[in-house]
Amino acid sequence: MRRLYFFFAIALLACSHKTADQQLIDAADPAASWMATLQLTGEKWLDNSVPSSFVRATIGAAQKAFDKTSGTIAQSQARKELRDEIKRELETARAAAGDLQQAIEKNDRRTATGAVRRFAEASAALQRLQQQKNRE
Amino acid sequence: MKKALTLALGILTSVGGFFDVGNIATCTQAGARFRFQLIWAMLLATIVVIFLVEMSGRFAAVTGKALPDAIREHFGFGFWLVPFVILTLIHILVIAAEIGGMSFALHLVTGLPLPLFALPSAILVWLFLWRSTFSAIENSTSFLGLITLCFVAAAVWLRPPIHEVLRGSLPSMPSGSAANYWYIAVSIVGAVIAPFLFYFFSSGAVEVGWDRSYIPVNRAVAVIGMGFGSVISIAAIIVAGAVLAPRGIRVDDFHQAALMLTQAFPHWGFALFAVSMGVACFGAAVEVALSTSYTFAQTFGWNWGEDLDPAEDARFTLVYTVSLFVGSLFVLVGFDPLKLTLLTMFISAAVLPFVAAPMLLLMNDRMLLRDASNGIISNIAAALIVVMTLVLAVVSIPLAVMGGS
Repeated sequence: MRRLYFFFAIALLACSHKTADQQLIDAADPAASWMATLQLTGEKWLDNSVPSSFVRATIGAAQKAFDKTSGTIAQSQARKELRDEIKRELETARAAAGDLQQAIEKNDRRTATGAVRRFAEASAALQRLQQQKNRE
Repeated sequence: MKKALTLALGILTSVGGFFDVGNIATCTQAGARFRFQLIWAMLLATIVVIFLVEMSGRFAAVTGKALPDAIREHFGFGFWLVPFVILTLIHILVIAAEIGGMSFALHLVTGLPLPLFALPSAILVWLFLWRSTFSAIENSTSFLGLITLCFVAAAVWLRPPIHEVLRGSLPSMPSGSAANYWYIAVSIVGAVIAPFLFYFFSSGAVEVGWDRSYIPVNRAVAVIGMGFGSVISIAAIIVAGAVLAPRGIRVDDFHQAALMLTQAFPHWGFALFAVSMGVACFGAAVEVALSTSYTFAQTFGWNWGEDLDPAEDARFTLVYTVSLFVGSLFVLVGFDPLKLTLLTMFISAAVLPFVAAPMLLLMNDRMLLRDASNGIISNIAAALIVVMTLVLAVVSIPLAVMGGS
């Protein structure tokens, strides 16, 4: 049994050998997923399909994921351009999340629509990075 | 007539009882991450659980004894001790996960913080167990559980590409992270083949007084009921695969899963998800808490029976009371319900050999079961189940490290 686990440990090390760029793009994956979630949540709020309390809770959960990704970026050894690009999209999503939060408090549908569009753009940008990485 | 009614109720119970927080978590993760590619894991787990549930019901109908009772009596207390301890830990974790699911459903409806609902959820389950008879529990939770059929309605409404769904029914190489793919596949198996299920089923059969004449009913309940239950879970994979996956939404948190029905039911989808989750988790929490009490009472030879007055089986009652309280503490202190559920399902899969093997050994005892002992088909299935559970147990730790993120 010990040998088996030793084999798995070696396999694990072999599999986990990724470049710093790849590691950072992988770490940004949950953030991209949360941006897409906020986009869908905003759309559903505009359709009156979900309550404001749910939007608030989802924004809170997404912010935690964004914070985690920010921490990873700060410690990453990846290329500066890549770090800056992910940081930029993250900041866009954070600002949009703040706008969506205010929009639901004031029932401001126009601001909410704008926030939804920015989530879509930020999420698409991160997903493009992921696809590029998969092609390489 | 009585048997036809038992059959109908049994099927309803299985349909309603199959789907719980473990299924919701693993199926939505599978669909969101790999679209329809992991349907095969659900089909495989369903075939295995049909065999195990059929065996546990047949055993109770023929011997008049529930599994924990029989295993302890047959192999001795020392042999039963290890599976018993493992089973108890799993029971507590599953109760915690189900209370987490109930609390999340209430959080969705009210918008209040999730930990606030930990103790009220546990008290609700406890009150229901304290006041109800076994039949009332069986029937009411199963009828309420039918609301989860909304996942099937949504899957039909979304019209997924049939060829992709059929392709997902056969194992294939993953389109994304292989470790994550196998991690979710193992978690699906752990969610479906919940160890409490067959121990609960055999105790329930004894409680309602099944005898040999119920063997055909038992077989039909196992095949049709579990089959229908599996359809709901597959529908959840399809809905997540059709709604969340194309948008790149992974399910790292139950808030993300809560959006999955809003495409098929724009105005009711959110409420339907919350109610489905609340009801499914409530029913499962009741069953698991009862299963914990059954296992304890049969292990130590106490008086047991949900139909007895609590004063007549005080220790039986005490076990579910303490289990619910301990389970609620996990949620109260802030464990994330999704992570808790996935961890629990994963551990369930890893410990399956310990809880399934004694039962499979017992099913071959011709002195005990005579002509109702396992035949060739059941034994081939049993051997495959043991091999599969052993493989799951071995691969589970490295998979948890590599694919659990």
